[in-house]
Amino acid sequence: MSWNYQRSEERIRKHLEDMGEIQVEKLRREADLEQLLSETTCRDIYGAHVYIQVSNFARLASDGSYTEDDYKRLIQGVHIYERAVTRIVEGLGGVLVHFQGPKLHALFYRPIDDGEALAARAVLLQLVLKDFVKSIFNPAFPACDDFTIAGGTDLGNAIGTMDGINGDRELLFVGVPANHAAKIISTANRLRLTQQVYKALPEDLRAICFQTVDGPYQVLPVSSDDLDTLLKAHRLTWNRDECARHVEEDKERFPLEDIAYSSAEVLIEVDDLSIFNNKRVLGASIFADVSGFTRYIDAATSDEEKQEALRVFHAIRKETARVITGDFNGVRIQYQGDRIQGLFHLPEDDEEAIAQKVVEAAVGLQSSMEHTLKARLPEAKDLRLAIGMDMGTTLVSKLGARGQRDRICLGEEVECAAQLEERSEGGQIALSKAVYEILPDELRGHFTYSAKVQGFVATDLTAEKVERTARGSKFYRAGAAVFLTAGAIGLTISGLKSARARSVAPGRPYAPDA
Amino acid sequence: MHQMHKPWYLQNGGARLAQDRACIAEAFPGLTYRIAEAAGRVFLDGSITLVAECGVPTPIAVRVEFPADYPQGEPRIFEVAGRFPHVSDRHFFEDGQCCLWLPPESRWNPDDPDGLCLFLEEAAVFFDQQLVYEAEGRSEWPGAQHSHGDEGYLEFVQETLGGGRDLLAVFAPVLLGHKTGHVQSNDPCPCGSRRKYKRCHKQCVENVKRRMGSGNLQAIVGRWYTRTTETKKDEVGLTSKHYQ
Repeated sequence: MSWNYQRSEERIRKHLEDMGEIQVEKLRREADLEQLLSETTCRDIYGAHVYIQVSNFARLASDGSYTEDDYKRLIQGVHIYERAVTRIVEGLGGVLVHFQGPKLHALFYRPIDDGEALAARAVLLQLVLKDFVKSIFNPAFPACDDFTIAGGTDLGNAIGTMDGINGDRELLFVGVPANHAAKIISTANRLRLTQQVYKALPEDLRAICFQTVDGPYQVLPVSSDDLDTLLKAHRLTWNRDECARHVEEDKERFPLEDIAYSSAEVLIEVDDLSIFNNKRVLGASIFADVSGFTRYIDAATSDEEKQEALRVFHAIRKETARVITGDFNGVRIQYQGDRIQGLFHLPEDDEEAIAQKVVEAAVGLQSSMEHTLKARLPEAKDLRLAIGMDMGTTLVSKLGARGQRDRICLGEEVECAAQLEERSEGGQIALSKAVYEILPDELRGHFTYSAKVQGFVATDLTAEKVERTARGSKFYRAGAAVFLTAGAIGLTISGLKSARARSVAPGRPYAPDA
Repeated sequence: MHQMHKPWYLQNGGARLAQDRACIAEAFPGLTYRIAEAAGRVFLDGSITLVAECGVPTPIAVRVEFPADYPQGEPRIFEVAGRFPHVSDRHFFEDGQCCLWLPPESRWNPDDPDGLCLFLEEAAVFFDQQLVYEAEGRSEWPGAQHSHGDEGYLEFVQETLGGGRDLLAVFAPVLLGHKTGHVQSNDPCPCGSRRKYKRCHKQCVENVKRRMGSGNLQAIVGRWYTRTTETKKDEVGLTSKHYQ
C-alpha cells in the first residue's frame, strides 16, 4: 500500500475524461435538489446554511468507563436524534444536507431568493433544535449526559453539486456560507449567526440577537412559549408533542437488545452498517481540506470560471478519496464540501501500524495535490491541502434510511483530528501527540510541534521527500553503493540491486574555499 | 599534424562525439548537444530527470561543457536553473558548477567509451544527494565529503599516506622535494616503521605526487608545511626565551 505518481496521474486523467460537461446555473425555482443535482448539473443556490453540533456525542463515544448497554444506548440516541432532527428540518422547509458525525448541516433555500424568510427559518431551526434537545431528547435519554448543542448560520450563494449515484448520493455545497456557518460554531454551546444573516432577519428575530465581542452574532435563549409565538409569526409549525411521540416510537422500534456493535478484523463496509450493526474500532481519523478553495470558487464569477472551479473540485475530491481507499486501504467516510474525512482501522488494534498508515496516507494526499493534480489542473496552483489526524476508539455507523444515509464516525479523537485540520495551513499535515509518539523515527523526524496548531506539523511533506530522507539515512550516510536504473522518464536511484541497474559508489564532493 | 588543429569533436571523423551521442540518447534523453562551431566548443543542454521510487520526476536543468582537450580533460557540469543554492556548503561554485569530486580523486577515465554516461550518472547521484539534503531539512551533507579549499586536499594526502597530520608533516619534505626529504628506496621509511621505504610508503607518496600534480603539491602542501614549521619555530623560540 503506497502512493504512486503514475497511478495517481492515470486516475486523474480518467476522472477528467469521464467527467461530463459541467453546467452551473442559478437556481431560479424550487426543486428536489437530490433529484436535480449531479456531478455535472450544479446550481448556484442562494440560501441559509445551518450547522448544529452536539458535542457530547463524541465525548461519550470515547468514554472508556461505558458499559456495553451504555454504549448501545448512545448508538440508539444518535440514530434517534438523527431521525428526529431530519423530521424537524424538513418540517421547517429545510433540506438536510448531511450529518458530519454529530454535526448537522442543513440548508434553507425556499422561498427562492427571499433572504428574510431564509434567515428567519435558519435561526428558528437553531432555536427549535435547542428546545428539542432540552425538552424532548434529554428527558427521553436520562441515562446519558445532558446533551447540549452549538450552532452556526450563514447566508449567501454556494454551489450545490452531488456525489454518488442512486441510493448513495451525497449533497455537496461549496462556497462561503457553506464553509463559514461551520467555522463560527463556538465550543460554548451558543447559537451563532453571521452579519449577513443578522441583516436579513426580520425585526422580531433581530430583537433576540446580539453581536459578540469576537464578531459573530448570537441568539439569546427563548422560552418554549416564545418560540411557539415566533414560529407562528413566521407561519411555521413544530409540534412538540408529536415530536416527542416519534422519539418514543423510535425507541420502541429500535430497542437496545437489537442494537449491536463489534470490532473489525477486515475493512469496514460502512454501507452495511445501520442502527442495528455498528463498529467500534481503534481507528485513526483523517480530515483533508482544500485550503483556498472557498476563496477560489468565490472569485469565480462567470459561468466558465465556475465550471472550471467545479471541475477542479470534483477531480480533487475523487483523487483524494482514491488515495485513502485505493492506495492505503482506508475507509472514505464522507465528503464535507471541499473536505474529505477518512478512517484507518487496520491492522486491528495495531496502533503503530495504523499510525504509520494514516501518516503515509496524508503524505500521499499531499503528493497527489502537489504533483499530479496540479500538473493536470494548472488552475489549481494556489490550492493546498490542510490535513489533520488523530487516533482513538471510534464508533462507526450509518445514519438514516434509503437515499439519505450518512456515514458517521464518533469519538473525541475524530473531533480532535478535524480541529487539527482546521488550525492547519495549506500544505501542512498535523498530528496529535498520540499519533506522533508512536511513529517510526523516519516519519516522526519530519514533524515539529506547533503551538498555533496545537499538534505536530510537517509542511510540504510529499512522498518523494519521505523516500529521499530514508535514502539519506539508509545508504548515503552509510557510504553504501547506490543503483541507477534508466527509465522512460529519467533515472531512478535505489538501494536495491536489479538486473538493469548500474552500481555507483557515491562520490565525495569537494568545494572551493568558503 | 593537421589533425591536431581540429576541435576534438571532429577528430578521428568525429568518432568520440558519435559514440557519446549514442550513449546520451539512450541514457539521458533529456540532454541535447549544441555545437558552437565558431568557438569550436560543444555543450550538452537540457535536464537530468531523477525519478523517485514513488514515481515523482524531478528534472534538474544542466549544462555540460567540454574542454578543448576532451576526452583527456574531463567535462564540467553546471546546474543552470538555480534549483539549488550555489554555495560551497552544497558543493557548487558560484557559477553553478558542481564539485563532484576533489580533482585528485577524479573518476574521469578518458579511455572509457562509456565515460561520459558514467560521469553523468555520478552527477545524477550528486543531484540526488542535493534533494536528500533538502528533504532532510538539516545542514549536513548526506554522505562522505571533503572539507573546503586546501583542507580538502590535505585530507586527500593524509588519507593516501594512511595517517594524520603528524604523518603528513613527516612526508611533506619528501613530497615537496626538499633536501631534508631526500629518501632512497632502500632507506628506512621516514614514517618510523623500520621497514624499507620501497616496501612501506613509497607507493603512496608516488600516488600523491601523480594525482596532486607538482603545482598543487607545492601550493597547498607547501603552504601548509611552511605555516606549520614557522609555528613550531615560534613555539621553540618562546620556550627558549622562557628558560633564559
